[in-house]
Amino acid sequence: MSHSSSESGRRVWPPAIEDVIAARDGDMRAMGDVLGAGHPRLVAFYHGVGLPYDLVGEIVADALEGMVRNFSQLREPDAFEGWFWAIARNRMRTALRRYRSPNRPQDAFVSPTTPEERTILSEEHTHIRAALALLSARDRELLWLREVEGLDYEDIGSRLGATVGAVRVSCHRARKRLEEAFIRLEGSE
Amino acid sequence: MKNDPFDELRRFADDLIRAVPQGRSEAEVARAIRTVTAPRRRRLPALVAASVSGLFVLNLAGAAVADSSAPGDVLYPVDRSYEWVSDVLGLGGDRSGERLEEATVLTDRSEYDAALELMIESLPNSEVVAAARAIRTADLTGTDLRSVVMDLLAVARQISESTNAADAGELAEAEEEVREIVTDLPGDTAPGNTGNTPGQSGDTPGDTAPGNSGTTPGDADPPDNSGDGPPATAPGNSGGNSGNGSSGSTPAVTSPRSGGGNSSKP
Repeated sequence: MSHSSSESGRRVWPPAIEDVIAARDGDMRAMGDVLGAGHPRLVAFYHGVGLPYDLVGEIVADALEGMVRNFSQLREPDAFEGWFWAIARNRMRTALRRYRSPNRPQDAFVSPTTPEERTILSEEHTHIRAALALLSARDRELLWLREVEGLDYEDIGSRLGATVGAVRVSCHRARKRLEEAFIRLEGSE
Repeated sequence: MKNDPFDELRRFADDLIRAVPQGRSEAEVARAIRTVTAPRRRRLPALVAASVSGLFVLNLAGAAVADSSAPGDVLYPVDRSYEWVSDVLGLGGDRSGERLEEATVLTDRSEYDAALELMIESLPNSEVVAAARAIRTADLTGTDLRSVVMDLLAVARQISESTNAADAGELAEAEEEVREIVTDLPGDTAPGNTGNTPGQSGDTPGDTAPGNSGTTPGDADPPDNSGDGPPATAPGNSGGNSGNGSSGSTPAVTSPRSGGGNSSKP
């Protein structure tokens, strides 16, 4: 994937390995570019897995600070995406433990005040939102990382201490549950 | 299934990602970088501010504790130092009230001579100073001495309040009471024998500095003597006033150094 900016000016994802290396070595401009490209994906991930909306901003900021703080310790620039999402997920779990909110994805979609909120609540995505709401938080997380972000099973499982086989089985089951939920909702229309 | 749920999921995700303004992403990343890279510089000013605040609070606490001390206490010099600083800074004022409180503390401790000395040294009113000198000269002990010193303190407070309130009438009455205290003293401490020139109230022109009123011109006003004329005691009684009931106080009377001498008693 090209590391140059797209025609719209947005930075592309995943970032070029040269930029990742420069950021790791202390180039703050490169770090800003790399994390700036990852920021919208963080926001989308936290909304997509159904976090309470008032918590998303806090977790995003916390995750970004963790990445800035630990960037110099990234040993394998090739594994940047796995490293990025491992920090994102860890921060999410820490925040949820503090928050102790029940698993109610619909709480994420309060009143639309930001562009992403308006996207969430648009009719175009009502169906998929409703299907996701029928899944567990873990299923939503696995589906997002595998189907949206395209992480391989090793990247998804390695930071959690889960084997590749266990992650593969979990992802397969999550896919099945999403299909069933989707069909059930289509049938009820 | 009309639509593929995974295609729907990816479209949903893409729309969410595109919805986040790029400017906001840049701002949030910049803030995270600032937060992480500049924490130490913020700590030092906070530490300095905390230290300065702590010293300030300790200073105030020390001043507050020292404020209640009296002559002879360990912290009394500290209290006077704080007063000096206040005076230098122009924040001081009339300290009569404080001196009277300290004199009261000394009286409570039965240190009558020290209380009288403090009043002589520091009160501005010449009548009170003259009365204090007279009491020191008088042959009083025990409860008599205590009651007359307390009477004088009470009237001195009235004078201080009247002066502050610029109440001339009250002031005159209070000064009259002081003269009556002196009149009632045993022996020859009646007006005229306190060292004041007859006819004067004690405010000798040009001689109104604390401790100086009532002194015969040329008298040195030594600390333990009235320096003002004949003492109340006859020869042979000099030094006998050491039993005046005050603990630790020096004899109030008579030494060869007193201005009028001990032999001038009519």
